[in-house]
This record gives sequence, C-alpha cells and structure tokens, in this order.
Amino acid sequence: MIVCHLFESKPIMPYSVFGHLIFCYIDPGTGSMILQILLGGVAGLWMIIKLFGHRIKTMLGLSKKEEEPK
Amino acid sequence: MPPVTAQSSGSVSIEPGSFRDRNGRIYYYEGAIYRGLSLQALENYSILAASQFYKNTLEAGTLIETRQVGQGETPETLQAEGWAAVLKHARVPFISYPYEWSFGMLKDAALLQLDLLNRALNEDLTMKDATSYNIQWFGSKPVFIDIPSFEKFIPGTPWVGYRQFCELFLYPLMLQAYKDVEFHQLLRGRLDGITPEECKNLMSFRDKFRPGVFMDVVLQAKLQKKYSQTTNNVRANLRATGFRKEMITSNIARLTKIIRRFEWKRSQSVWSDYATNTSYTDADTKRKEEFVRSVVAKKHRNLVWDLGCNTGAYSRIAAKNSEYVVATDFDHLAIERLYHELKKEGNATILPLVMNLADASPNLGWRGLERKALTERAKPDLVLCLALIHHIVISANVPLKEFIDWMASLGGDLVIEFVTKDDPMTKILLANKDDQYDDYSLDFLEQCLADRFHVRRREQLASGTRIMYFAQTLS
Repeated sequence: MIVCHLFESKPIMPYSVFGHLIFCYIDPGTGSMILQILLGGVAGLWMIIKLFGHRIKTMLGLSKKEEEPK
Repeated sequence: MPPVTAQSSGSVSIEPGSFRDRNGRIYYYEGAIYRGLSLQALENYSILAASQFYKNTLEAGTLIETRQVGQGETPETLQAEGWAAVLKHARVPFISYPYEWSFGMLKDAALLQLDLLNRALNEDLTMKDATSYNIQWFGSKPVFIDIPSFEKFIPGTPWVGYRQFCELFLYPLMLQAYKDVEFHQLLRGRLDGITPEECKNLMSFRDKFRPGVFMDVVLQAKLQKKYSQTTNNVRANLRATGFRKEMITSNIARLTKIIRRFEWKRSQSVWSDYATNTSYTDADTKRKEEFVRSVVAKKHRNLVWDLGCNTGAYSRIAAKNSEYVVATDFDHLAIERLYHELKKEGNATILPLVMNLADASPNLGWRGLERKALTERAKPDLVLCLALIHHIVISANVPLKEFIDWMASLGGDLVIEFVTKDDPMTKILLANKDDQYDDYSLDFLEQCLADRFHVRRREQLASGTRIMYFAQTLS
C-alpha cells in the first residue's frame, strides 16, 4: 500500500521540529495514525493522490528526492 | 447527594485512579471534588473556557459543571501541591464503569464522545484521549467529566484518541452487535479495552464485510502489527505531508454513522420477561409494592440500591423519596430495557447497571485502586433485595449467612423478600441440582436477620411462598 510504504522511509521533517508541539500521554498507535489517512474521506483521498503523485514524480526524476517541504 | 467515593473527611484525599495524565490530579475535600492543573493544562483550560463550545456543552449538560477556584476557596493542603490552578467540579451521584453499562449506555456514551470531539474541532480544540471512563451518568444522562481532555488543536495532527476510541467504545459495541459477545467481561478483564488484534481474531470472514470491521479492525490490526517497532515520528510525517482536520471530521462522521446503526438483536431474555411471566398474582404484586412504598415514605434517603431490579418498578418507587437510586441486575437485557425507558423519560435519578452480585465489580487497575469495587464507591442508606436471595444462595451457592452479613456490612436499612423452597421459581432453580441448601430456610434467615439488624416488619404475601421483611441497620 502506497501510504504504508511512505512511512517506512525516513521522516520528511526532523522529529525535533514538530515532536515537541504535540503533547500525548496515550500511545496513539503508529498503525492507527497511518490508517487515519484512509479513513479521512475526500481529504484523505486527496492526500493519498498527492503522496502518490510525489512518489511517481520522484521515480520519474521530475522532482528531487531530498526535496524539503514548504 | 451521596459522596462520590470513600474519602476521609476534613482532609484532602487524592483520587488514586487519576494518575494517568500528569497534567492534573483529582482530589476530594469535604465531599467536594477538586482538580489540580499543570501550567500546560491551565493554558488549555483557558482556551476551552473562552470558547462557545464550552458554553454550549455546559448549557446542554453534557459537560460536568466546572469552575476555577481562587486561593481562598482552595483547601490549604491542595495549595501546597503546587498546581498552576485548581478547578472545582460538580459531583457525580454514583461513579460507574463501562463494564457495568448496558449496550445502549455504551452506545450513547460513544456518540457523546464523538459529538464532543466534532464540535470541539469546529473551534480548533481537540481531545487528547477517548476513554469511556471519562463519561459518567446522572441517571440516564451521560456527562463528560474530564475537562483537561480538551486542548488546542494543532493543524496537521491526527486524532490521537482514535485507537483508544476503538478499543474502549467501538470494539465492545461491535462485538455485542455483530457477535452477541458480552463486552462487560472483556472490559473488566483489561482496563485499556479490546486490542485490534483480539477483536480481529473474534471476527469471521463474513463479519469482515460488516460496517467498520475491515477498516477499523482488520486493517488497523495489520498496520499496528506492521509498525509496532517503527522509530519514525509518524505524527511529524503526517503533519509534513498535509494531514488535515477535515480528515478527522470525516472519520468522526463515518464512525458516528456506523455506531448509530449498531443494534443488539438478542430476541429474548429469561429475566426481561419476568414482570409479565411471573408467578406473582396481582394481589401479591400490589402488597409488595405497598410494603416498599411504606418503607420508602417513612424516611428521605440519599442513596438506595435496588439489587436485582429487573424492570425497575421498585427503583421507581424508591426514587420518589430519595436522591438517587442505583438499580442493578445481572441480566443485561433487563438493564438495557430499563435504560431506554429511563432515557425516554429523561430520568436523572435512577442509574441502571449490569451487575452479578455473586461476582460484583472488584477493585481493579494499578494497585487495585484505579477502579473501585461496587461497595467502595458509596454506602447505600437503603437496600432493596427483592426476589434475589434464592438466586444468590441456590444458583450461586453463596451461604445465606454470608449474604446477610454482606447486606449488613453495607450499613443501610434492608427490605428483603424471601422466596421459600415451595415457590415455583425456587423449584425451577432446584430442578437439576442436589438440594444441599439446608441453610435456605425461613427460620435460619430470621435468625441471621435478627443477629445483624432490627427487624421492624414482616409480611407474608398471599401466595404463602414469599415473605417480606423490613430490617433496620444496627449502626
């Protein structure tokens, strides 16, 4: 599954950038968080398309692999 | 109102079950409930308190009445704990747990949890958890009690409580609705709920096509297993890759739809038909009601327990002259029916609970102090024990003396109905059992009652096989 493979790669942003912003005393579950993209309705579908598009572009060399997000 | 839990008067006592979130702690002081808040929790509370969402939910009564108290109102011992702020909450008349609720109660609690999160998100607030223990009851009305659950929503973050919601709300409901598996034992067995893997293992191939099973159970179990050892910061990745709030609200709408459609389809229950399918004559029923009515009318009481309440007819009589009635029965369907009736009436003074008294809720969790045994939450002023003793002694094999001793230990007055061995209902219980119950006799009962109570009234119903007693506590 495309979404799952994306999260096997290195994090797009370093942990320190966002990690401290989110307080979390329960374990949200890695798999459960990933699943929320698929359960996210139209917005989730759009995110998958974007992620998939990015991966295709990377594969075709149309965008840089180490591209930093805005 | 009765106290919410056992506590020492005059000094501050800590609620041992409130340790999980380090941003706050619950304290009891002179019957009132206080909550210490960390600086971070105070920041979130300030945002919540200023929101329209907070005003609306307080008005609707779905959020526990809360106010911030100044130093003058804060008990001194609590001031020394060093919290950034202290809140004071309204008292819940009687604490109950999800493993004591009926299917309909858990379903309504789940829908409230989803509704609160959805409306909070509209105002850029979110909830840091989704545990069913954060919901309590005023009779048939569910109320959310954990104010520090609400915090500022950070764009790009997923719903942190989704997995917990599944484990403590969705899966128990799903197992009851789809498989007719009682969720009480499962929830009582593990306070954190049913894991996706366990739920998946209980589902058949056909079940995978039912709403919610494939995505919320099977796929979640698979993904949880696959990524359990990951060191990647998935939350950060989700945010960076454009996770949006609409994805959470979409998920909430989907779950709401699934849960609304859940129905528990058990067609009949031995005990739910009891009121219409009983050996009582109309005259006996009338005299029994009159007996209870006269005991209830003599004295206003704070808390009444109706043990083995069945349809709740006597709970309703008791509620007329008491602050709160806890109505328990071991038959889930009887409690489910009672709940729906009470809900329809908007009743806020009778709390229906599923409870097997021969195996009542024990102390559970960390140090055995996190969730309290039934008897440690509050003491009843009056116990109704009508047509129950034959089930306790004959079906559950509990010695009669021990049962009466237990009744006395509760510290309240007692209305008890004895059902003799000649009664048709007792005969059914003995039909396939050896009668080893020499202690199950009227004489011995009266001896036990006399040892532990002042027996004030005795009345034999016209059938001759049922005898009512009103016994006052010695204390």
